[in-house]
Amino acid sequence: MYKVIILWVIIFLPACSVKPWERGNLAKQKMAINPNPGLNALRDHAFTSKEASQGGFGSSGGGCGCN
Amino acid sequence: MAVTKCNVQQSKAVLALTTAALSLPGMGCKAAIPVAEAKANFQYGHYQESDDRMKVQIYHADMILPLADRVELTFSIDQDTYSGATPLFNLPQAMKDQPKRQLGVPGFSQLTDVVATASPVVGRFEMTSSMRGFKLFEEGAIKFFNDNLIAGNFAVLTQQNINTAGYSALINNDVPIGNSTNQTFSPHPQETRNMPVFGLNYYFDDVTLAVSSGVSDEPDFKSTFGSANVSWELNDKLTTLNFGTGITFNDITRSVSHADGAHAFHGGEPEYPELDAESEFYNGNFGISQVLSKNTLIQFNTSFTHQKGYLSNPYKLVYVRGEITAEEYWDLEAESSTFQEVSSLEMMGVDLFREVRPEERNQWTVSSQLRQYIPAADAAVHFDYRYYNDDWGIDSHTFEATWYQSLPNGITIAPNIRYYTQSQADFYAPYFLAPRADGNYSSDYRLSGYGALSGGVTFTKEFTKGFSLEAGFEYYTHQGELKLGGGGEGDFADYSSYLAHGALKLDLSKAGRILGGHQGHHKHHGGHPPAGVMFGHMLENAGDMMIGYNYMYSDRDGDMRYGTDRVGDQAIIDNACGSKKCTFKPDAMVMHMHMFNFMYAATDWLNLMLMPQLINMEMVMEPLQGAADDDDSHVGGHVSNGLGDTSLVAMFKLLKTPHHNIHLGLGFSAPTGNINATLDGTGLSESERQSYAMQLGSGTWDFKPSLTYTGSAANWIWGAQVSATKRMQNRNKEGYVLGDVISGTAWGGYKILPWLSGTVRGIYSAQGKVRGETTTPNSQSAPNEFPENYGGKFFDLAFGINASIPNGSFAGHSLGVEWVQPIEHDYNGYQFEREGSLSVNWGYAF
Amino acid sequence: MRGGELKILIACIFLVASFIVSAEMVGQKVPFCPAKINASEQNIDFEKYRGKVILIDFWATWCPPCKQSMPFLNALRNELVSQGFEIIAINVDDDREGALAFLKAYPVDYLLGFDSSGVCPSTFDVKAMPSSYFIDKQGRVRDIHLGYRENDQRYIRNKITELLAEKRP
Repeated sequence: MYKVIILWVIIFLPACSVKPWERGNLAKQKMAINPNPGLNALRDHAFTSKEASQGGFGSSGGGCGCN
Repeated sequence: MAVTKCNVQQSKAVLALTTAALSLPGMGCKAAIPVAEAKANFQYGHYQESDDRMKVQIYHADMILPLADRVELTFSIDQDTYSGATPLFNLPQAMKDQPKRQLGVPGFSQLTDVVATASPVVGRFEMTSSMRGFKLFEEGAIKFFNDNLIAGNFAVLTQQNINTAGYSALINNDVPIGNSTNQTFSPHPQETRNMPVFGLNYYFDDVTLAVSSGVSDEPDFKSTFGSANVSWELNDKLTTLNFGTGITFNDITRSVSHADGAHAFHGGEPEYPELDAESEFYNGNFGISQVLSKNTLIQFNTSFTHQKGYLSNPYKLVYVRGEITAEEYWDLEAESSTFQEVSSLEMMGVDLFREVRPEERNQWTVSSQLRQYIPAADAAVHFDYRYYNDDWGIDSHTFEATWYQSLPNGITIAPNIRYYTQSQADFYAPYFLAPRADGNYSSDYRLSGYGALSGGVTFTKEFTKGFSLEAGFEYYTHQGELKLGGGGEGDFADYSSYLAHGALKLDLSKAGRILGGHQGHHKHHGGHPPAGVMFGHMLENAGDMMIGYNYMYSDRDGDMRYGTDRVGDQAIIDNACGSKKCTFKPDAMVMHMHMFNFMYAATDWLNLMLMPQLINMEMVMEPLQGAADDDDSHVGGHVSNGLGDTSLVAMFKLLKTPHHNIHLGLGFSAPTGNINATLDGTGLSESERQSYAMQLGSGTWDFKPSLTYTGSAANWIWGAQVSATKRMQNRNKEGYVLGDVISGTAWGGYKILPWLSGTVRGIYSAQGKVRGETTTPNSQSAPNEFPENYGGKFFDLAFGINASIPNGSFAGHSLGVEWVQPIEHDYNGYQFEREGSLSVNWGYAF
Repeated sequence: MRGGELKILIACIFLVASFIVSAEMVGQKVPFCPAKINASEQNIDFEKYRGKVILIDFWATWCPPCKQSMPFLNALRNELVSQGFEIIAINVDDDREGALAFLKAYPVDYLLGFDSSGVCPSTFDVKAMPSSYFIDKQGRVRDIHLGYRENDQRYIRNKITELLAEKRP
């Protein structure tokens, strides 16, 4: 249990040192979680239609009668 | 004081929204603030599988609009058109190509699959009779007879026992270990799916609320879905928590023309009920996003989905040996049992049934996303991992990595690699040599164990005007042997595919607007011409741009006409089909046209316009009274969906005074619309063509000149336009050319309010008939399949309303609606009469 | 705990401590910070603006609300400059070239300073982007406004007018 807490603290401690004005790099489009929503929606639709796994990246619904 | 901060986590609400809403345009630093100006994206995708399997064309448009300080509206629309072949069922090689007797031909001259010998639809006796034609059956029956004869067991030598032994030898033919698996495909006629989605985002100070809802509609599957997501920024916006939930309701039916490949029910045995099923999905997800350093962002997500209802595939079949015993085949032959009595599964062939999946499915995912910026290269690397598990026995791992590399001149190149592996569902097998206790069966390759590897690259170029173009390509291969840990499905199920896409992304704001603010925007003089007038409006100043969407809808269900008069069925039968006798006529025709236009003012006097369009048409035919009854090529109606012809027009300002404007349009229509739509929907070159009216384009390059005059004074507005379409080629690829068109229109209107006007318009048009004729045969059984039954002279009256917003937060938008009503007509030959149509036009100038 | 993590932990404690400190900025004299005026590479001297009301605005090209506020701030500054109001915008982009290119496309009339080292925002204890510091005629920080939304325009305008109305010392 201790180890988990220390690991969590060690991982997240550096976060304390990121200042509001130092977030330029994080603001870049390519650092977004989803930099290309259009393409990823298209790919996600293709993968969901052809693979058994669904969701995980937030897709819910949008039903498709694929076969 | 407002504590709005420029937050940088992209762990936004979008991630928990529906798939479609993932297409919201992204923007650096977007997370907790609404967009400053509207954005629109247009995307085209082409998906193609190996070996002529599935092929899909995907057209997508979306827009995000700031409505107020803290509110955003999102909208997206998708239209997919798909066709091709899909796997229907699998057989062990031992059951394929078995020798069988053919009527009137001695010996076992036919080689056919046991399952396909005769469909249950022909009846119990006929199906079993066909089974008795197999060599395996005869050998089994003869062996039983001889063995018992020699042993002296005369009592067992009944027809029942002999035939049962024969059936047993046939259906239980030995399948040796390592026997290969054979996959049978079913052709899939063209179908189109439409999906509009609306969303609203509300931004509090540290919390963002996003809701969205939409519909996905295709002929055999209608889905309604909605979702809500809350994201909460903590810890100086370094940490974001996401909570989301979604719900989906589906209505599922089975398309008759699509179902069963070669088997189509026409009301025979065994009369299984038509499919009319439902399913529901409930989803919840939670995520946490954390900034680790000024160059590192990490996110963890987990989700749960509960599905219930009809979760099977309505078309796929499974081979199950032993579900019906040899004794039961005798009972079917003797008609002492019905199909429903021998099996609860729906029987589609000998030992061939519709698949059945459980009525419930619980799915879990856990995933993480890492985003790392590399300053030395000005690149970002993305690592994603997802673990999935459900109670159907499937678990999977997905690993994905993408490298975003920025290059000079606003170019970004992003190569990507993805590895996916899944285990098979508990009730999956390529085929079943024994029935399952739980009654669930599927041979759908998507539930098998396999691995998939894909790699791709996307190029993006951002131009200075706040618009970017993108193109990308990804190749995907599905292989049983790629499964992590081995044990994947055999290579018979392997296939590969590619996905190519192109996109246009627009920032809907003028260059100088960021400084000029919203005031000092456009001054619209007389407003826009009525919604049904094409090429009627020019932009004010060089550098202006406009995007617009024009929707045209018509639903005709009137009578047939000849010249100016109504005409009866007998006259049509005798005269409308050239030297043949007609057997069908159009009964109803519905058409939706979606036209997108992009206009750019290159100079003060020259505008350039690009107008692609998507067309959806459906025609239903009915037999003519008194006609011969032997043709069923038109039963069930026809659809034609896809990209139409694309217009490229240059408009020149000839006169511009405070009260009068004249401009000239010179342009071309490029034949991007397919002209090979077929009656059976497959698009194959041998199949019969749909009529000229149902093709998506003209097939020729057409010259489109127009001259437009608009005027205004006080509250009155008026205008006129002359336009033409001149075909520039003698014949198109299919051997014909549509008639030329010339049209004149004049309108007058009154401004009820400064921003709202009403118009009345008259339109005269003359169109020539089709010249030449299609070299690929059409069915030649209906008037609309003959070139002389096209064109004519028409006079219509139209009534419209136009709104044009000069200032305020909706400045630059215009919306018009117009109803066009045919008044007088003189048709060439025999035609389905024209009826009213509705035009809706939305434009946004910036 | 290793040395690196210990340093970070201490930095974290100081950061937390600085929360207490920041609340004290209001009422203090505006601190010096090395923000360069572009071509000259000279530091901006806030003392020169004694007797005027100034708005010190921390911004960056990667911050959309910052960019959104600029037309409004420019118009406000031009309207009130004759009454003794000036804006000093300090850009904190890592890459000054990018900021200059942006300003070339969307120029403003007020004074611009550049500090990519992080010292200026740190001195001012910037809590959010953008941050606006309202400095009165005596050179004291009177108010800090975090972030920017269109509805904030009225608040900003009122605050400036209020400070302009105060008598010069």
